[in-house]
Amino acid sequence: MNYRQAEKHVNTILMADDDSDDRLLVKEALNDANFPVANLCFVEDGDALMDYLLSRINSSAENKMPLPDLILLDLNMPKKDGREALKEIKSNADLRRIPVVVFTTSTSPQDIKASYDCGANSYISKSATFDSLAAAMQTIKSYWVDYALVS
Amino acid sequence: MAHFFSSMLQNLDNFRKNLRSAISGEFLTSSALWTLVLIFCCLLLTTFIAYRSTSELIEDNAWVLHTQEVLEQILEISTNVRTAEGRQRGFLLTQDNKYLDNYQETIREINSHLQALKQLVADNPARKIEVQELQKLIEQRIFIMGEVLDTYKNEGVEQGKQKLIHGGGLTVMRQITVLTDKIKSEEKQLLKKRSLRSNQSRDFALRGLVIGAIFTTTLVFFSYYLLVIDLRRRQQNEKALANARDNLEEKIQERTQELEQSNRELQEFAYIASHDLQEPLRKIQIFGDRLKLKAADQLDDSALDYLGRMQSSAKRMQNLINDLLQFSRISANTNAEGFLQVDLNLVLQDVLSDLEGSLEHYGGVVAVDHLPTIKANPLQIRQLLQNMLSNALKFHCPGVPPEVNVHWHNQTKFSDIENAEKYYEITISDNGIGIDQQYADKIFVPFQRLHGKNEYDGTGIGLAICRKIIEKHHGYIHVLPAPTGHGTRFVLCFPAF
Repeated sequence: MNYRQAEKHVNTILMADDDSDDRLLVKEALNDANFPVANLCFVEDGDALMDYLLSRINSSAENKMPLPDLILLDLNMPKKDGREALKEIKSNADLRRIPVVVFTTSTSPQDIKASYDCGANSYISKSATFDSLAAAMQTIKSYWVDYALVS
Repeated sequence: MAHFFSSMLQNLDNFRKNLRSAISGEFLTSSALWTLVLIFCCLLLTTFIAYRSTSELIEDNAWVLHTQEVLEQILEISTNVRTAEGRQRGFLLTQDNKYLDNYQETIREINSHLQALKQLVADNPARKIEVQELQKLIEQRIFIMGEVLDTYKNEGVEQGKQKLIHGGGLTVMRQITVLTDKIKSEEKQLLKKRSLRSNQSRDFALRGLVIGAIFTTTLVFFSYYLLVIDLRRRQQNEKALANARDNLEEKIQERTQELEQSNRELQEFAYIASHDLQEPLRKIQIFGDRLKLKAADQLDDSALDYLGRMQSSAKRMQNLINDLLQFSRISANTNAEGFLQVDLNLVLQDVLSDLEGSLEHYGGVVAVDHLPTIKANPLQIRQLLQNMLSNALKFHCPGVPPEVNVHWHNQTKFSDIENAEKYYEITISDNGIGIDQQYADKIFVPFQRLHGKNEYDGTGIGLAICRKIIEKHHGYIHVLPAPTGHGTRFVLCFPAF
């Protein structure tokens, strides 16, 4: 329902990551993929992420603030880490429809499996080249954002 | 005897002291043995005493009997002499020849008793002389009686009477009586002496037997005491041993736990370290990329070269960290419960299809036996075979197409014990550059390389990973000696479950 609502508004991506370098790089990569970076928001830890999402659910009808259309989630963050945040999002009836793309350094099979088990919609390892990062962001944009727009 | 007992008590005291301080069981065992020997000696001594006293008793008894016999014979003789005298007088009074016949018979009897007496006293020289004297006197007496009878027959009653009265028979008879009394009293003395001695020896034997019995009983109790102490000590030892064993087990468990923990910590450390090291490295690489992309036209050639070298170093470090991660994951991800039946033929097929590119590139050939099925972690076995085969291809002799052979056979370790361990021994041999035998162990250490980075690429983790995988599967790997340039032969052993 929230997802449908969001469709009518400007498409937004919420990135939860404590690493400013990664935030800069994602911003540049999305810019290269022609995503309007003004619609990219950032939070720096799991608690901030949950505050952000819950405040939007609870906002009053006349002052409605939209939920993000997609969440880029780092697993290793201070305070509440990405795994816990992912579990909370996917167990919240109002939030579970938001696609969550896990975006993290880890390449370990356990982390990948655990993320999917918790309901992650996709898993992208932070790559060591900008080209592959740009490609990943292009994919995200064209699959999740453009697809959502069309539908 | 008293001295013996006091020294024995002293010994006992020493024994007790020694018993308390005895640590080794040998002392106890030997003292128990000595006690048994002592008991045996006591029994032997007691038996000897009993035997000797019994035979002495028998002998003494014989002597007493002997004395009694002598007395009896003497009594018989003196009685018979008197009887002969009576019969002679009866004949003289009545002239009845019946008395004379009896008289002759009595004389014969006297002689036979004298003979018997002589035999009895043959061993006693003094008595023998006395008996001879007695015999002479008796013969004299008989002679005198014979003279009286002759006189009576030949010269008449009166002459006979005169002869009887004055013939000296009475004197001889008195002498005989004195002598027999003497012998009798002497024999009685002897009898008394002998029975006294017999009594004494009986008492001695009795005392000896009683003492022997007491002593033996004491020794038996003592040896029982020793055995009880020994038993108790043994039980204590066993208890101590069991305690020590329990302690040891506890310690081993503790140590194992400690080791497991430190191992786990080490693995976590390796994982976290390599994980966290990746983060800044990735940034170096990715911003290097950005720099190159955005500022390439503003940099001169040497700056671009520096940038390239920086990036290739970063890439290399990335590889090292990835390998380290992989290496540390082998331990974390291996437990025997998760092992599956793995058909090595299928795994090898997979690996060969992965290596198809380099096989074609080098013109290599791989000949494979039909391999067994083992219980293992399939992904790790795949990695193991991949590393082994890609090494075999990579380290080929320049200009020579690589040939790789994979054979296997059953191998039994410790075949002389009951639970012999069966192994599958897989040999992977190639015709490549080979490995100098002095580096046979070094090659399995992480990041150990035998060649320059420019000669052969790779970080040097491959064989370390292979060994770790095999060890996690309770097998072992080693390289067989071969002259350099004659290829390499690796032997991989897996337990056959």
